[in-house]
Amino acid sequence: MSLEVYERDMTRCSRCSYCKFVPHVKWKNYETAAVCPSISRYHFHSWSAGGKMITGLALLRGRIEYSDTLMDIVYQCCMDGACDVSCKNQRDLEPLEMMLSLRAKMVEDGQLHPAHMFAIDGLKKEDNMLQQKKADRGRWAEGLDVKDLTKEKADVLFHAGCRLSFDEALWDISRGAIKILKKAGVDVGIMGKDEACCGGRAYEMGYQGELTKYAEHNLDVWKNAGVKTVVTSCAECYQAFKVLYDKIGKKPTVKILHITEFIEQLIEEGKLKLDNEVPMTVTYHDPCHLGRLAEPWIHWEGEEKKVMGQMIVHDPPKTYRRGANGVYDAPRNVLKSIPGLKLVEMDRIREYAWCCGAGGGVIDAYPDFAQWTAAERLKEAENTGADAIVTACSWCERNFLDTVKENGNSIQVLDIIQLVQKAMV
Amino acid sequence: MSISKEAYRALEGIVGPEYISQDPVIMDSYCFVWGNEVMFGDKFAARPIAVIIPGSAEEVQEVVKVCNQYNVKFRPHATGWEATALSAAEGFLPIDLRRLNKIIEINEDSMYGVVEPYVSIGALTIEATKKGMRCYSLGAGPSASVVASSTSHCGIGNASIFTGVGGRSVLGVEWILPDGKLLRLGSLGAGCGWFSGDGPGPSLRGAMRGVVGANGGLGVITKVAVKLTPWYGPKVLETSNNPPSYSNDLPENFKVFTMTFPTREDVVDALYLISEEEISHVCSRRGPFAVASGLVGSNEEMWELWKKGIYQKKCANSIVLIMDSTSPECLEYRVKVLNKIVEKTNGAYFTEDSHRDGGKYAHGLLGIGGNKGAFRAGGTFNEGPGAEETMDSLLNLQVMANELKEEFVKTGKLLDDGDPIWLQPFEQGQIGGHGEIPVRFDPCDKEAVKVAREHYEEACKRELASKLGIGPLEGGIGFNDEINDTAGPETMNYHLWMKKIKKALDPNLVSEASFYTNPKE
Ligand SMILES: Cc1cc2nc3c(=O)[nH]c(=O)nc-3n(C[C@H](O)[C@H](O)[C@H](O)COP(=O)(O)OP(=O)(O)OC[C@H]3O[C@@H](n4cnc5c(N)ncnc54)[C@H](O)[C@@H]3O)c2cc1C
Ligand code: SF4
Ligand code: SF4
Repeated sequence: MSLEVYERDMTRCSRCSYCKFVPHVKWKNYETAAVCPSISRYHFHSWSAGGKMITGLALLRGRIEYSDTLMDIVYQCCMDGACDVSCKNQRDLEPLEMMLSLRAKMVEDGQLHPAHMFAIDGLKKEDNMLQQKKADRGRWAEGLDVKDLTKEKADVLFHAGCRLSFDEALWDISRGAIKILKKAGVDVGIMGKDEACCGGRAYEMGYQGELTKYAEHNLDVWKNAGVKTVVTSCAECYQAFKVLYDKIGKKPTVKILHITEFIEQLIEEGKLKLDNEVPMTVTYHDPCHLGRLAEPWIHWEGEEKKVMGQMIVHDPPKTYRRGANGVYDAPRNVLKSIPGLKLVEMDRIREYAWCCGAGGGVIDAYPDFAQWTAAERLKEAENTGADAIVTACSWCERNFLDTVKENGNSIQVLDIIQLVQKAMV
Repeated sequence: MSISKEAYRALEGIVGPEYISQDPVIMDSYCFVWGNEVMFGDKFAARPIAVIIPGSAEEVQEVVKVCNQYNVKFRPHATGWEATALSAAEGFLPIDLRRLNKIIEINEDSMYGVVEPYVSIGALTIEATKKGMRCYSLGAGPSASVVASSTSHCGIGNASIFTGVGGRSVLGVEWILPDGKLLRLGSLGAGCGWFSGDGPGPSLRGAMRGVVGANGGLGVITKVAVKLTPWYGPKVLETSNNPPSYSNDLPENFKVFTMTFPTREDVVDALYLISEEEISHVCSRRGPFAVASGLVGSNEEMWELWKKGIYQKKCANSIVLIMDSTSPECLEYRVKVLNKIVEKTNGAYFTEDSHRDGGKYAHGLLGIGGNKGAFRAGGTFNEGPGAEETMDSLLNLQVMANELKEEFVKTGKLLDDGDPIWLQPFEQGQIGGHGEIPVRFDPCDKEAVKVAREHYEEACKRELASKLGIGPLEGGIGFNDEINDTAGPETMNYHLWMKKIKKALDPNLVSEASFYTNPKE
């Protein structure tokens, strides 16, 4: 959607600042009331979602011009959508969609963030965001007895994603996922070097055409491979496949599952037994792309109209995505199935969780801000008394791990997959 | 107005380059507030000359001194939720106080909380409830600042019947005067702590805020102590449901009631009796649209509900009441008293939406319905005639206000929401209460903005002529020089006192006073 589509939303923003905070009803402690990393770190109102509404309007009206400051305001933002949940608890507005449109406009107008070019060039040359050799993409699975779906057939495709394919320190997770699936008797395979990026991160950066390109490519590949289900342990890939592809009219015909949903199902069906005690206290970090951003897309096309003189409604009626329908219970249910494991919750969870800081191209362009945001989350996790912060997204893990290394936190960073493996006999 | 290079450098020297800006991209988000359309016919008022974010009270004081030295007009800024918080015809320096965000003390023995300017009502409430107390509530909702609403604006909310209003909750104050001097009010000024707003120590709350506050025209308050009232609910507020229908779980010994009455006069009688008996925590008369819209998740849902006509027909004259109590016996007693009042005032209980009591409780407790009720329907709102008075005289004023609104509704440019009169008793009715009438409209509809402006101008005229009040209060829009100069002579020349105060405290006229007063008589 073009930025102009959101002109009315921008004008109707009341500058209430709700988007800076967890919805008030959900506040547990003042210390953890903030929900927007961007305004919390940079302070000037322009960095909040409401501020970006004003900035977008000022740009449309020609009051301001492109500048480095504008670039920072727009891109020092994790696109995690916490603001959107808080705003929409009160209003029928679309701050996150407006921010996506603002980024797309900047890209369209040639206002490219130099630091994003590394990822974008990587996509162009090697189909991944990390400028790694395409030919090396399947190396993470070396030695695993797993089907190569470019040559063989299987029901289920495991999509590793760019981060888990190339970040050797995290290979435990992708390899662990395959081991779990195989142990449960799942007929699973991978695409190896022929796997490509999901396109989701590029879309969030404003390169919307990249999403279309990769959606078409991936849908084609899945069709040719004849798989029924695509499972991934990367929350960003999951959100791209399930939500963004649908949003752009390319809804997959195969079933899309996050690994935590798949494991939950396998436990329920008795195919996976978690019998080993794991005597730990953990807290769970909801990845934004598995949580609020993974709420299914709701298509709507129509017109705004007025009733009662001035009340704004839509024809046909519009249903808003307000964040509660993400994947929140599956990962928690998996953790609760692990004997001896105690799950303690942080203050900011589910649709009002604080972001890890990596999203929206922040880890690429502003790594210090990404780590600042992660440090806030780690502090919150440590305050629960947990031994480990557990998550279900490779980008969250990378950012938490880097931050722990930098700041010397004592808390461990784990993926659910690692805990499930420990609990498997 | 502009700012000289020297002045900018001096300010930058206080806060560091990270916390001051003159970049138009940043400054544009400091001249955009919801009252601007009616005030200026546009979302954007004059662009600031710079924006500064000091990190401590000491830095604020230094900033104010530099403003005096270089003749820079400044205005403090908290959440910016006041209609004209950042509006002016000429640019000024907003002092964004968001880094002054600490709760300094919550004192259980003397029942007060001491906060810095960016601590919100929601923040103080959530921390005070852990200690068995609560802060006053605000119609604007929990995001507004305690300092702003108690020292510099009104501070009225749903719970005012029990908690009193923010403006009357002020105890000790730390105040940077417009000339940069530091003044401590109440017991704080005598070195005796925060517990009293009057003696021992200087009792200057009247000069500092009057009835509706100086709206930033008299320097910067850097700390305030406000009264806290007892909280009989749990230390942690349990919640349920999903957005946009989150609700708080009703605690033990709390109950929610919606009562309906045949006439508005019965409503007022019931409000008097409920106040007298001191049986409620939250209690007010809101119009059927406000009651219903706080309970539904979207405009689409609201429209479906409105079409059924239930609220207009059955809740045209209703009171929503949240009852708290210290024990089951206390609750039983209070319910019996309420039953008698309802009977005596020809009322009945409306129970068709009692499944939504958790939502009503959440709105009542924190005032979160204000944002939904005011902005979601049309996109923005403004105020008709409003005042602080006895309930009877408020009713007279509001009946006139509603007739006025109806005249403008006929244009199709204001929301046709029935009878939206809000009647809010204060302090168990001992000092009357507050009445106002919101008008809702779409800021994207130029014609609607024009009609809202015309409605506002007419509201000012008719309210003054009615001798029942001065002007649309809550918008704050009323209290500019134009209104003061017209209303003052009719109202014991209050405006001349304001001018004297301004002249005495702001010799260089740097504390920006578009919504307070200038000293010229
Ligand atoms: C939907 C809605 C409903 C409302 N209902 C009510 C209501 O029922 N009752 C009511 O009283 N108000 C109401 N208001 C008005 C407003 O919200 C309140 O006045 C509130 O106090 C504003 O708080 P804030 O933090 O947003 O302050 P701001 O808007 O930032 O500031 C308000 C004013 O106080 C000044 N100020 C701020 N901080 C300081 C300081 N530290 N020192 C000196 N001056 C300062 C500012 O310059 C400004 O003029 C309503 C507003 C809205 C949007
Ligand atoms: S974006 Fe929404 S929550 Fe944020 S200031 Fe605007 S209206 Fe309020
Ligand atoms: S997406 Fe996240 S960082 Fe960006 S404005 Fe919203 S809450 Fe803040």
